[in-house]
Amino acid sequence: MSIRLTNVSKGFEHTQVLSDISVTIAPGEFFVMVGPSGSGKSTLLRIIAGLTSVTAGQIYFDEREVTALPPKERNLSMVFQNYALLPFMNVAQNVRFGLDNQQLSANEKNKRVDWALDLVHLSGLRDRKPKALSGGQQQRVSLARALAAKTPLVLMDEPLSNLDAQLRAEMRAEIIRLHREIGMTLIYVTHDQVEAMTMGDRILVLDAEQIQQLGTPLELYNHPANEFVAKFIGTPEMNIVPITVNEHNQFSLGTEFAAQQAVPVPFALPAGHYHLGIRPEQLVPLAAAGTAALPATVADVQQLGNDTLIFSDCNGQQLVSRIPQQFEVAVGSRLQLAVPPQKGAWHLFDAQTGAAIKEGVADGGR
Amino acid sequence: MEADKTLKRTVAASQQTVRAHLRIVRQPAVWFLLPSVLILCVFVFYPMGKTIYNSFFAANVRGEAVKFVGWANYRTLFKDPLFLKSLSETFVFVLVFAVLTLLIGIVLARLATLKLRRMKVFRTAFAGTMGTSAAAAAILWLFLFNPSVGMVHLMLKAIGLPNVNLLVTPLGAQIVVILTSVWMALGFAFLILLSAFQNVAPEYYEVAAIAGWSDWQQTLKITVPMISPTLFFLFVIEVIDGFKMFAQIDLITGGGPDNATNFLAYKIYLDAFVFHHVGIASAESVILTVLIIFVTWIQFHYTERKVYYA
Ligand SMILES: Nc1ncnc2c1ncn2[C@@H]1O[C@H](COP(=O)(O)OP(=O)(O)OP(=O)(O)O)[C@@H](O)[C@H]1O
Ligand SMILES: [Mg+2]
Repeated sequence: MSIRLTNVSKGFEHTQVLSDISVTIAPGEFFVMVGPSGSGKSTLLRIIAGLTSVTAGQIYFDEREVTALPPKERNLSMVFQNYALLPFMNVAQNVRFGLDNQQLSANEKNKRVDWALDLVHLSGLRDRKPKALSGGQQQRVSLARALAAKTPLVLMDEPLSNLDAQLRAEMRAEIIRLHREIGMTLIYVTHDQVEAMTMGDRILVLDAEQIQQLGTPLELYNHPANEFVAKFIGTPEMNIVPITVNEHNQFSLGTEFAAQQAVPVPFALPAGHYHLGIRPEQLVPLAAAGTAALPATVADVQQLGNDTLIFSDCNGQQLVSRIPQQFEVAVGSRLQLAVPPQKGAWHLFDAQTGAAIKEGVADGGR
Repeated sequence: MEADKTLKRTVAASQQTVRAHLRIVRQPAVWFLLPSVLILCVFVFYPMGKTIYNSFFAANVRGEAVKFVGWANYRTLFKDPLFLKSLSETFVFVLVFAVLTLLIGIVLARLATLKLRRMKVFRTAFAGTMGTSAAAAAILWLFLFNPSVGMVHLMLKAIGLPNVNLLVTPLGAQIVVILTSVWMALGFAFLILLSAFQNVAPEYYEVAAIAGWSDWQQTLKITVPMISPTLFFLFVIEVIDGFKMFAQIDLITGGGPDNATNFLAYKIYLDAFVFHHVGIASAESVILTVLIIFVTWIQFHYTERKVYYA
């Protein structure tokens, strides 16, 4: 089932939450909505579900307008963060609760329950009460309940955020598998950008009432549309520093040109003020002092085992580098951070608006 | 030699006992409990004991126990058709009262959880009887049912129905007493139920709404089981309250007509303080107490198994 929102806006009594949201979701797509807390992700999902009304705009399911329809007439199911399993019902009864109102024979309903429990590997626990299950198992039950209804659209609101890191990774894979096997349209809300990157066919980044960017995970990572997306996607977050470029295609950190620290820009860039974004993995220390490098002082080092994070200070700007190996360096020592020579590693943003600058900079990889 | 040892052991043991008693007295808890224990003794345990004692005696008109009669008072009661009638009517009254209070309470609480404007006004109104004294309420209802100026009769007249005086027929009087009692109990039941309703996470209803369950089905399938501990608690409280119902009866019907509303608690009062049969009234009190204990025990034993506790 395809979903189309046109100019959807939502305001509560005192706050505007969503303004003019338009998006089309393809049938069978794994569509992820991310954004910081309070950005309106849940609100948008609940609008699609019919649990919250819109202030303006329309919603279409397969070209059928559903804007004013109650949830039960939208033929969808939903998974909640707190699982919402009825504590006095056992696992099988909870799963059945999601489809008991459909026009199905008792036999078919039983088959659906068995099928759904089998899908989430819980057939052995069908008589347990939710209290006797682990958090991961409870979330599987609530997944089974949503799947048993066999609706063409499934909505999930932060289904994994009550689980610990290991279970979360496991359930992430599980949900991806279920989506692949069943092929329903899946709209998935999270505030965890790792979940968004690893799960979604496409990601919608929501903030300040607006869609900040909509694209595939790699589009968002490689070509963030603005500073907000650049910082939101990727850990540790992208370094973004103000730079000044002079007429000789040299730049220095800071809002004023400092000749003694000037470094050549590896491609043609009109003179002016920019915000430069460089991913931490693209900002690595030089083995030997070179020309295209920024001198920096190490402020902190975090050894992650496989990676090393180096936090350094360059001309008053905080920078972070990620080195994909173990790397010994003392706090307080001086480093030369190599300026990446390839254009694709340079993310330039308008110093005023924060929007990505595309013109004048060759598009790496597009 | 042996005796000496035994003596020593006995002395040691008694010393230990004394020390244990001293330890109790030195416990701060004892001093904190003392006021309540004293009050309970004076107003509950002593009268209780005295009542049990009196129930085995014949009393003079001043209520003093004068002659031990054994189980005679009890035997008299269980042969007295008036007492047996009172007993069975009390049971019916208590059951109808408790069930009605719970049902109407559930409906009111459900209404009060609707997201409507000015809901606070309704909530306050629904809970209003919490702050009304039983006597005032009884007088109010007495006015309502007054055969010449009462609102109920004026309304009956307005829609062309005959002007029946409910209070002069046995069934009518019972209906009025039940209405009054339910109305009085609703404020408390409503408040407790409302807070229970509000403790049910909204996601349950959202799951149900998406799955297509109607409002009514949601109340039955989600709310009622989720609040079953509260329902059970309220039912026990209302049953006990029902057995103790007094003020409404005294002010509205005085137990009549034809003893139709002479429920046990009221009959005890009549027998003790109007007819001065203190022995009989004491026996009735003991029977009522045993009844309440027994009924409550049954409820805990059989109903509580069906209650889900989170
Ligand atoms: N029923 C409501 N009444 C008033 N304001 C609301 C209501 N629901 C949500 N809001 C407001 O709308 C904004 C967006 O809320 P929403 O729950 O959609 O955020 P979210 O992106 O899901 O955040 P989180 O990641 O914390 O779940 C918040 O500022 C919130 O306070
Ligand atoms: Mg949310």
